[in-house]
Amino acid sequence: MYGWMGKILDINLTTGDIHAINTERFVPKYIGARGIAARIAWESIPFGIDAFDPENRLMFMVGPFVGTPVPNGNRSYVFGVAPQAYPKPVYSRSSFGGNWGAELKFAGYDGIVICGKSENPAYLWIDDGGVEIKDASDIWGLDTHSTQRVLMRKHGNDARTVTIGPAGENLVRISVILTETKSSAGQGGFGAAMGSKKLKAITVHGTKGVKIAHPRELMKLREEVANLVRPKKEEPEPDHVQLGWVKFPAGTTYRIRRAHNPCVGCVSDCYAWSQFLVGVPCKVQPNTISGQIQCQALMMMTWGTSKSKHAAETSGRDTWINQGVEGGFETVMLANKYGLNIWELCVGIQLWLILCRFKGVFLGEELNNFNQDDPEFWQSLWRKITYREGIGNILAEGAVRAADILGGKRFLRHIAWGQSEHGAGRGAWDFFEFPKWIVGALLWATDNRDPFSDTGHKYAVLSSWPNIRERLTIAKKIYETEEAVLPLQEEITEGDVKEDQMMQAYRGKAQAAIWHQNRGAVIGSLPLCDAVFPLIISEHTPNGDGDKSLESKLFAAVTGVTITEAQLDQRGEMIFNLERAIAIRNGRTRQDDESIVPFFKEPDWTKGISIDESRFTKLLDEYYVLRGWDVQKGWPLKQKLYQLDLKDVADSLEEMNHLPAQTIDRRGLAR
Amino acid sequence: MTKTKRAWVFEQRKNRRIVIQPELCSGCRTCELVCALYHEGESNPSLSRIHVKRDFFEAEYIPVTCLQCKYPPCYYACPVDGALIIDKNTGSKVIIEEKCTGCGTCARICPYNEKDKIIRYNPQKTKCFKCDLCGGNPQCVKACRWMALKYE
Repeated sequence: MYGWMGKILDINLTTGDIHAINTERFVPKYIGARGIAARIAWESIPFGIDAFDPENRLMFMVGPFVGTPVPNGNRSYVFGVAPQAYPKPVYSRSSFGGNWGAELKFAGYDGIVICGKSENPAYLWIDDGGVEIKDASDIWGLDTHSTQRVLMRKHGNDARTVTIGPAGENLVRISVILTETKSSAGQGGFGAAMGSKKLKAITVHGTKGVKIAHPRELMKLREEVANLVRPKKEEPEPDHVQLGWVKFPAGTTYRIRRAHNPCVGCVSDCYAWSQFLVGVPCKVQPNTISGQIQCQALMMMTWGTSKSKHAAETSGRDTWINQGVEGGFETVMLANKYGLNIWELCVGIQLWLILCRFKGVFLGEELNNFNQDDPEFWQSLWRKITYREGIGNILAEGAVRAADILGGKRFLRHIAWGQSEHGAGRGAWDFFEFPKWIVGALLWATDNRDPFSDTGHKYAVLSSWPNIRERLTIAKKIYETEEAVLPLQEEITEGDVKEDQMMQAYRGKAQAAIWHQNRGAVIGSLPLCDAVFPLIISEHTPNGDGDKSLESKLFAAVTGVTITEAQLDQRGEMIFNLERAIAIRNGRTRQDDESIVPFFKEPDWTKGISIDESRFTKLLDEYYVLRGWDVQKGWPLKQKLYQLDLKDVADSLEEMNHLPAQTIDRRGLAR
Repeated sequence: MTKTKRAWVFEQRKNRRIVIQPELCSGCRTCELVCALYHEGESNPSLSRIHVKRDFFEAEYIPVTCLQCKYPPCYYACPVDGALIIDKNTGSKVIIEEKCTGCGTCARICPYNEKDKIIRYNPQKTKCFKCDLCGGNPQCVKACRWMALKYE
């Protein structure tokens, strides 16, 4: 078999049973990571169980591209019922980069499915096919970096480890699974799922190889991608760079390294301003630290409103947090070492506390009297959350559960599924203007997690593309309607949207959302990095055209399975529908999808526009019809599932009375 | 030893090599994968002729490969006639797989062969292997997006 290694590990920690599942059972139909995991979840996760149930599966999956020189194809995924999910259990996913996934392929596996619960702390040691469950009592309690150092000393420098920190051990619902200095599966809080299984780490080393069907073709495609994503300008000198919105003072005593520690085979300038800082002096501890930071880490260091007046009115100041480079970096690295989810700390907790204090909502003495520019306050708060001390015990349940107890829910940046704002124009991405956040709302409504880190990034890029002519033609080419990016954000004046603009804003958005969701499922299965793929737009071609058929070409080059772009997208649609079926089995209905609407009723932070509920309801209707789903319930129709080759899924949903009795007309629309 | 190996012969010849700038290396390991893919037909760093020494905690990445010495100890030490030759066009020191017995003399004598990462041993084939500059078109240099490798 080309691309795939042929075996998936199935480990039961309760009994200590280890055996292998044949990957050929799932491929090429389910492609890889996200597809295979959805199938396994459908078959083996019992209905409606909680994330901390021993029967919950924690799945680490890699796809055919991992461990090969496919550009940006080396991400690994974690799946399972997510501890962070709110209010009810949700099957979700999260991904991380680094070298671990490639090492797992070299050890001969396409994934690891873990169920059960170990009695004592344990870690997995996978060495070239051999698997051992080992005692982890000596590393239990160590931070993520020390754990990796200890395991590398034990198993050699080339071994790679994914691990949880003390946060995951203490079942903090916003904890991550981390590898290297900062690559982590954050959203979903899978660190706690791993902690509930008493599994501290998985260390992998391998010397096998991934076979590739057409190596020459692959190298040609690699060059093509590298040409399309190369940086426009010459890279600046490595010292004294502007790091996102953080300016580094001249003459710093530490070194800044551009684009270091990428995933295997990366060709892009790791998405938003990834930098490696070496030897930064700390503010609180007498020490120096090194590590990598990315956009969310920058937000924890220094963060404020980008250009919006409304945000300043909501929060009382332009710069919400300014811990400085040194102090902020220490705070960020501490969160990484504890194994906490920086996005949730930042958008979920930091911003919520700041807004509540400004609006005079009393959350408690400790949470209302603080200096947000003081790294020591945040660091002590992270410690309390990690070890569940005092107020930290409440915050460790995640911002939305904490707000249920403490109050201040109005100022929470929580949208749905226990996860905080991203791509909704009212918080982290306040630059995401009307009408773009309407697609954001659709994605949030119908996905199982924050959709903007593996599905929606490229819509954000396209809809903000500076050249308007290119923006419209490419939108027309991809979504078959240019209304997906209309009305132009440049033509909307603040607080005054004309009727025709308002009507246009709710048209053509469903097509964009569906296209990105289907493609997102493909990209999550291959897997590819969403910073580059789908490559719909590029600065280096005359018309701004990217090449959206790259996924299928790369798939054919690696696996030897010839497939057209449309067929691959249909596989994506199948995977998305299968994930929907899992959600439906756990009780998901249209009501749950619509639970995002109240958040969007708050005026957005750039132009003060709120969602028009009746129009959005109609848009959601349109989305369901285009998807071939029932409009009342939001459930896939029998015919749709049959058409997607998910016959057994349809039959088993029918048995549960979860299959609406409607048909799809000749155009493929639900009626 | 049946053949005569004389040093002065090389001084007249080309001696090309891969020049490494570690400060530009990002640590993406593409060179390793591409090398193994080109020579062995599979993506496998343990069969690669170039190796990136990695310390991800400090972001220290140092690619190491054969330096293509002008007076190569491996060449003089090889006990098998015609198993380790010098390519006429590039001056690279090439192990001929058919003739190599896998004795490992070259790997032991190489002064730069830290942890056996430059002249390596393939346990499946029971042969040694090392960088041969891909016959004048080094794939790793072509694939390095960060320009940390140069062919000179």
